[in-house]
Amino acid sequence: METRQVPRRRSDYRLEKIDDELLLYHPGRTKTLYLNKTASIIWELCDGRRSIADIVELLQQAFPETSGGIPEQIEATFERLSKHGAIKLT
Amino acid sequence: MSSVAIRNLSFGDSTVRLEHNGSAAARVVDFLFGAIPDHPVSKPAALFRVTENDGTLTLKLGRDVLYDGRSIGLLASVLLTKTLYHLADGMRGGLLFHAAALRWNDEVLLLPGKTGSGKTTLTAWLLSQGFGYLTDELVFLPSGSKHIDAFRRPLSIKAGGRAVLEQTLGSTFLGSEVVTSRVSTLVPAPQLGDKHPDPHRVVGPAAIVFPQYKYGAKFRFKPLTGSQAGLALMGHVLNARNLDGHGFSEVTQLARRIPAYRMSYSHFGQLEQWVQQIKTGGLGPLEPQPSSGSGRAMTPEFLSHLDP
Repeated sequence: METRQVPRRRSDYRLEKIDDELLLYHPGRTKTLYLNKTASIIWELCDGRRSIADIVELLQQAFPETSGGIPEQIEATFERLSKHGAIKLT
Repeated sequence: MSSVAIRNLSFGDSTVRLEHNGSAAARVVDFLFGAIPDHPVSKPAALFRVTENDGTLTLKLGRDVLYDGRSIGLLASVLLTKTLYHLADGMRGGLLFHAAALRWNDEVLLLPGKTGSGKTTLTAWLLSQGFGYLTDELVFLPSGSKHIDAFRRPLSIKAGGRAVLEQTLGSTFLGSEVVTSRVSTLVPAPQLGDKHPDPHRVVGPAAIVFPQYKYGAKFRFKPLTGSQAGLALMGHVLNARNLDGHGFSEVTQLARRIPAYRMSYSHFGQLEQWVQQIKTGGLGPLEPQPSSGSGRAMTPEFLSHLDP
């Protein structure tokens, strides 16, 4: 995965927001995905315009007190979202 | 030749029909389903026949022979499993959960759990602590209703669970009216002592606990967020394929409304404080263990299933 790639949310997931978290359900795959607050923010930022690098930068600005290692965790989240077909990377 | 008796097993919005002849077959059917409502319908989801001939019991579904032999215990086990399958298969008007349900006063505790999670053994132990029996297997939540339907079958304890219960509670706990096979020990619902006026249809649940028995585990009792509860509940819906959107919206509505917890334990002694809390203050909200923590807000967490 390269940070210049642009993620876009897939529209075939049904979505329920409970408090600040998300549940995504794919009827065709009978698959449920849980995203906590931070992963939900990442997923919602996948608008098909921002690159992965853009999103990492946004989150680092939003959570400056967070120590290092967060970019790797965010990229890992993109990989898992992509693996489960919840986003498309272009 | 004895006459054929008919019993309709109604649960939620589904019914299967049993036809049987002979006194041994009647005893098995009464034992298994004596606590299940009998509502005749014109078109049952399945028709089972139990016949008795010179001591041999035969169970058929249509033309298929599901059991043929002399063991009442094995016949009971097969009949119970198959009727549950066909009842579940016909349910369309609500969520059907693979879950035990118990009553404490007027509140219901739901214990969703897959086979092998220790759900029935935990249910039996909670009964010994004064809880009321609703079911150890199936709970139906009709759409738009605040009531639940519990399938009040005999408590079905596997061999390993029976050993644990006898060690904990003594060999007489299960009573004398049990049917035992190499598969399980069945304890009839009336013997389990709940005197609720309508145990098939009660308000609830007030709390959802996902139990997990783990050898050597420390006791953990942790509240789940609504989304975590929804994720976990989706794994226990048995009739998802019959429901619009596989019941996803209904599950998340439930997860928003009802407090849910994850509990792991390795022996019943660890649960005494938790049970005492329920006896003192009711079912909700329950206190987490001090060590449980509240999650890692800044760390992305992405789960496709909820680890126990």
